[in-house]
Amino acid sequence: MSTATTVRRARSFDSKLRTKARTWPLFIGALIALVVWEIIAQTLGKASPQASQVLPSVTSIVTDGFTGLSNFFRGGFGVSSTANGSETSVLGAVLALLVNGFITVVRVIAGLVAGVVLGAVLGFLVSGVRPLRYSLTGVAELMRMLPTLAMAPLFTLWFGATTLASIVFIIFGVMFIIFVAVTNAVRNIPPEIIEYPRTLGISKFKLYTSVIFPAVLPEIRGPLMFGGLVAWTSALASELYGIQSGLGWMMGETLKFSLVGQMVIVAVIFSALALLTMRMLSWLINRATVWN
Amino acid sequence: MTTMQYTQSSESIGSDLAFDISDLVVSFGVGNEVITPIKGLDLQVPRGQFLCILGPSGQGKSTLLRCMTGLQEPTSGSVKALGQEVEGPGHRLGMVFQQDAIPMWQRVRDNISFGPRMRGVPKSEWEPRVEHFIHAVGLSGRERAWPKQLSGGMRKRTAIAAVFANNPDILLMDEPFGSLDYFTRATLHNTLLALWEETQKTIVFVTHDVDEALKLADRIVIVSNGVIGADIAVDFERPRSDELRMNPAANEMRQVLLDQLESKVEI
Repeated sequence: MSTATTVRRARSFDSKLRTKARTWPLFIGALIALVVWEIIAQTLGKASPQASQVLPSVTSIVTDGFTGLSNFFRGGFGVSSTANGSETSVLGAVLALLVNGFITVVRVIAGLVAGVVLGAVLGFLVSGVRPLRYSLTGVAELMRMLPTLAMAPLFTLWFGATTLASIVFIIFGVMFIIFVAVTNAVRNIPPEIIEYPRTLGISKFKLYTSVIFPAVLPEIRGPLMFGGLVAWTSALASELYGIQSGLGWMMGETLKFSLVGQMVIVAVIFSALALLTMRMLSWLINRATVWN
Repeated sequence: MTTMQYTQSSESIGSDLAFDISDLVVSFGVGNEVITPIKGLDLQVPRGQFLCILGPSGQGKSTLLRCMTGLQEPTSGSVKALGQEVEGPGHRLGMVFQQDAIPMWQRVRDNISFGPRMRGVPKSEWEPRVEHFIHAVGLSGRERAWPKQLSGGMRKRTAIAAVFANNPDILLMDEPFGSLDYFTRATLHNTLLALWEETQKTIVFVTHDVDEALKLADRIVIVSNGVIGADIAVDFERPRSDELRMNPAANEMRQVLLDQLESKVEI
């Protein structure tokens, strides 16, 4: 029992040394940022009447800006759209954020999952065939270095202003990152990790599923997180070009009409959702590599 | 070639031999150079023998062992294990590596049952073996641990139990205890010898440590410059304790081995 306590103590000390993100400092940080913002906005607002057009105070964002978001709601759940002459309302604004947030999250997750699966499967297949690996990794490296965001309009042109265009664009962004990461990780597996199971007499298929696949997981942790980030930025980029739904679309519209207050709210929601999904992704990877 | 004491008995031919290696040559390209670590080597290993392959680094002992497991293809010559040509790695030729090669994502028990499980051996067949070897290597109580939570010595115990649980005909070990401290090595020697006596399996053990070879082996061969440079029978009584260090005959043999090795070391 005493050893168990020692181990626990050692671990808690260890986690203090590592800068592991905790939730409460995040809230304190956000609160401080809000207070600072409010002070700057109020001070500037007193100096110039135009200042609120650029940096509205937090209180005015919450009170005036928020209900305006109901213009992005197309009706449903017993609340009718402002396009049909309804007044803007808090409920309408909440629904606008929920519906569009949900749409964006679905696009991100669908694109991310498909991109990871495609990239990983291709990576594992190509790792087994050396000439194929050499020829494809070169192309993938090039694709990875392209500023993918610059290609967003092209995907709208190819697939129309649809959810499909958005998802395909995310897949395009994520796939090459994962592909390159997997081929590199497979190549970096120490030879004895693969030779030992061969001396046990296991089949080539089992070697892939039960040895090579788990062996690369810790090494593709970073690229997976990066892929998650790329999925979110790609979703935003695709929604800025022509699609009439999603948080990216809302953000583009608020920019078009200089609705700074609403823009800030959409940006905060966008960031919060991105943070949440990244946390989930990180949790999933930790679960899968608990042995490490 | 120096041959002392050890002579091959005329009966031990054919399948009585765990290994029959003749005129083995291995060469491969490293950069623009072609190197030939094994240059026409002959070696016969009778079944059940504990053979130590001794030699300084870079003399071809690991390459020889890799040929014996089937991980390295010979350039010419033949490597027969139990009467059959070795044509690649397989479960009959078990191997313990110098590095930690066991899958780190399998808990101790799953690691020890890894081979038979992956090969599709029925659980009823492997389960008692796995339990037996967990106990035999002293890992009882640690079955649920991840390898990363174990000491280097415990991980080696896991690797040894895993190879025995996979029930190979022959065990090959490539400097398995090279990275361990003196006391851990000494206890692992005893564990290994107990398992060897119990299972009667042939063991081929590569080391560069003369005392390790003297404690473990029935027979020591020195690989130097790609061939067998010396072949020496070690017939001290078992179990051998650390008092072997005081034994005059052992000291004499140690000196012979050291002289042999010294003349081979390239500086």
